[in-house]
Amino acid sequence: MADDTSKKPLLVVKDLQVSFDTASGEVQAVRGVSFHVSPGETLALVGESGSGKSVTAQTIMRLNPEPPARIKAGSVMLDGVEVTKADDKTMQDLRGKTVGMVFQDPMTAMNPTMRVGRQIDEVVLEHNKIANSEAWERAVRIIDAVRIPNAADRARQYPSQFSGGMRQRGVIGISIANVPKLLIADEPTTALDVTIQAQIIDLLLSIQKEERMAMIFITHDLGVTAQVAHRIAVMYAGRIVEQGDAHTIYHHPVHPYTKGLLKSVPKPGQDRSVDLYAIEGAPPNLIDPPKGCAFSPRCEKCMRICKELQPPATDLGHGHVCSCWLLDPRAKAVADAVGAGAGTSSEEGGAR
Amino acid sequence: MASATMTAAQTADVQATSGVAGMDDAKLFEWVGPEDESSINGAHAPKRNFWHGVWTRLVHDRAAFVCLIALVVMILMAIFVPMVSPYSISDQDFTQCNLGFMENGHIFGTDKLGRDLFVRLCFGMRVSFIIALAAVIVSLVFGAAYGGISGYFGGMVDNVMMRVLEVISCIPSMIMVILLLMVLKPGVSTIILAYALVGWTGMARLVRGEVLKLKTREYVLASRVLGASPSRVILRDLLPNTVSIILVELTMCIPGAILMEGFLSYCGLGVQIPLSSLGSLVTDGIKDFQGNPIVLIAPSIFLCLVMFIFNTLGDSLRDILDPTLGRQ
Amino acid sequence: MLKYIAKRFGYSILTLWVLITVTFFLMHLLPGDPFVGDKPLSDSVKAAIYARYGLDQPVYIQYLRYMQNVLHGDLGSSLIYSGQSVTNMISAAFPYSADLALRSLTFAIPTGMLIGIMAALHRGGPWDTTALVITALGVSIPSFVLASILQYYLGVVFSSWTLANWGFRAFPISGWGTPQQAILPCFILGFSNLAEIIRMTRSSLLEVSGQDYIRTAKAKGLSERKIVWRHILRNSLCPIITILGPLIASCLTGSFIIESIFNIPGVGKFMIMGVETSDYMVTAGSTIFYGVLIVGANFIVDMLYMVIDPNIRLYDDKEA
Repeated sequence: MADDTSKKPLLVVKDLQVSFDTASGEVQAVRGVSFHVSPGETLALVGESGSGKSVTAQTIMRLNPEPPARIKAGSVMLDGVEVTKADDKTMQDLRGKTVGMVFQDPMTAMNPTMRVGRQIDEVVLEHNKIANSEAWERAVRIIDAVRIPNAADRARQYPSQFSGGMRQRGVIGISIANVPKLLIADEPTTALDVTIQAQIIDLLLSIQKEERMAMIFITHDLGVTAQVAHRIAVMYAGRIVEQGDAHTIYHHPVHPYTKGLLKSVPKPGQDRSVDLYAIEGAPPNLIDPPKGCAFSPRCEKCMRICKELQPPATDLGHGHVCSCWLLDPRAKAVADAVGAGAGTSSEEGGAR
Repeated sequence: MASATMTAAQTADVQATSGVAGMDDAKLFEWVGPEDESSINGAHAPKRNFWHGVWTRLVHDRAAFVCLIALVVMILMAIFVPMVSPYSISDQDFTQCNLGFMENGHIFGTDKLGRDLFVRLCFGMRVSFIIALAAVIVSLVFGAAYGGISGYFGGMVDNVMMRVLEVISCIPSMIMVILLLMVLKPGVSTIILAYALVGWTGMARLVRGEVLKLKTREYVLASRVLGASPSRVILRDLLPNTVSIILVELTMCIPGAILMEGFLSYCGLGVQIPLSSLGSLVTDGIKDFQGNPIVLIAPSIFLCLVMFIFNTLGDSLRDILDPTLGRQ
Repeated sequence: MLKYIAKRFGYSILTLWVLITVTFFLMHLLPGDPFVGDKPLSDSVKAAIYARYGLDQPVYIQYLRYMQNVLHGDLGSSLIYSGQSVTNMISAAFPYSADLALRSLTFAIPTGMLIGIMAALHRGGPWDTTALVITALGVSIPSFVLASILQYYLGVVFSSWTLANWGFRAFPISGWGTPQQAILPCFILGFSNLAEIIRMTRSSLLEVSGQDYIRTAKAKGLSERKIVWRHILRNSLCPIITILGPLIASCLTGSFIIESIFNIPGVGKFMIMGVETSDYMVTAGSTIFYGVLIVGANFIVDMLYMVIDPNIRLYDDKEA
């Protein structure tokens, strides 16, 4: 894993800030996010709904409708292109070729009035100068590659004739049709049955391995992340609160939010009589975000400063970065004292 | 606010925190713990009454607000002008025929029989509003019940009821109404009845669709598992959740009813003299306006205004109540 | 697919049967008697007339006979213009009505769809403003008001001025035949439909534009133009086509006001005349005629819908 991260990154996101201008005010969906992904590497973006993970992902492809979305600051370097300043033409060349995206809901992600094969060969034709018949053959091969049986017949069917899992395979087929360098999977299994989830993740991983794609895997489920990710970035209220390699995040989490998330993942063999842990409260309103740490109102170790100032990002070495005031030397007393109970959670999380 | 770009170097910058709110480090790094649950949940998602929210947004929508005010003014005019005016709707004064705008104390002048047009207009609005309201209520009750029953029971019942509805809605409503009015005596109650007979199909279809969608939800299932009777499930669980679409449909129905009354008046099947309605005034105006344009222009403007107001209100309500429809 | 067609056809027939039955019985409930004229008729004459029109038979016999006649295309004969066949009257009048409806639709449908599409694609722009203004006017001005006002100001006032200055009447106020006579009625009949088409097209396009699969299309790297043509337009066409049925209906039935205002000898004019003179054979005949037209139009629209939306074909095959 370590050798993957040492390569020149394919995607570098720096201090990205994205807002949505709505009738009730400016929603600061992404408030300064930085991360990078290298070829062959999988980064998991984890967070609850509304934490800004999908907006971040869609900004990489500039898929958010602008307006109301607005990139306020920051840069997104994708394969040598500055996405935040790219014009329409450049973005069109990038989309579907350099970067592909798998969406959350396979039921609505495909055009209901277009044959599945056509939806795949459309993206092939868009980026390659080849004959229609050849593109169709390629579409059939792709359908076969995403493990849909009877590919030739299936290609001529409409999405409504596909089951949910098969549709998601179709959507994956669309996204990988041109073998993109970066594949973004936005909660690809959330809308699917548990039994299908594993198949879809397997499929994504094997395609990624074959083609050495970089992948951003977005999820709210840390349990899923374990199977997939090399590195994990935990998002909360439009910021990355902690990121590091998967092993570190699972076994040595630092941020109280990450610890809380890990505690709330059900584990095999867990005592069923005990209620699953839940983080009390709800994420903050992003129209008027708190001036201090956004997690402070829900944090068991909240200090006075947490409500006043944003915590700085602290580099803990080996790419493990966390933004929390508890890491400040002056917070030692609170970190040790109140944290004793919460600290054990990391052990529990690591036991999986 | 502190910039989001904080590098590792800044972490050690002890200065960064000094002087915040005049507190020293010891105080700043004192443990305060999480906020209690109620303030966390309550702080960002204030739970307001649903209708209060709708009302607030309606008032803040400029077009809807203006329409609402205009509607209130019109309703007040319709109620009070015929009561306080020195003229009545049927008083004919042949010395005061065909007066124009603001002549001899008649605000909108008089018609060819010397009747005060302003009073007749306000009275006409009263009749039109009553027809619209009554027609809409009747069609609401019948349509919502029909749709609710059809959607709730589903299967064979739904199939048969929908076939019946399909057949009825295929018959052009205007033709149906004209046929009915030829049989029954023209008048306010007949117009209401006629509209109610043909005007409920849209409502029934809408409610059925919504009920079909809602009845698969868990809370309805829970209610049925607990042994609630069908009528209870329909009345307590399903209908309250269809209120918003019903409300929008109702607002959109009103101009339809008023327009129909106008058409009927034009065909000579509207309210009978000496009563007046917006439609009958326009129809009378069409005959006489070449000598005195105000007899057509005043009722036409009011008729168009009423239609416009209800359409705009309906649009705004739909935007507010159903964000998946219309402009977002 | 055949089952779907057969099913729709069955409903159409059923609808027509209900319409004919309802019409027949309503006409028999009519309080007015067309033969109670100025001169009281002697009982024997009355009996002879009743026998001639079959009015002395029991109602169900009359009903069966009427049904039989309707099936043979015979809508009876006018009670006022004695001996005139209603079928003949309608077939003489229908070309005028059809001409009027057709012309106004060829004005309203393309114009409305164009404005609606442009408004949806360039929201907030001048097209959108145009769309909003037309929609607001269209839904708030009843056609008989618009017709009367335009007839006077354009047909009378403006045309007298053109007659005096340019030597011809710009907009004749009545009749049918010359292109000039068609402009005003077609415009007015098309205007309210125009608003409905614009509204429908615009909202349908906006709804489809917000769908997830449009985002997928964008993620493929397709240009704006290709997304609009391949993905948005086809999917937003379905709801637009469903309103074509009611639209044709409103054009045909709405035309009787326009026909009577502009004195166009179409079916609507006969129908109004039938209402006014309680000539119920004429009223019933034109009602049934309109019914056939509208049910037929709806049937054709259903078929069109099936061609456009593959899901209807597929689902119905499975269910039926």
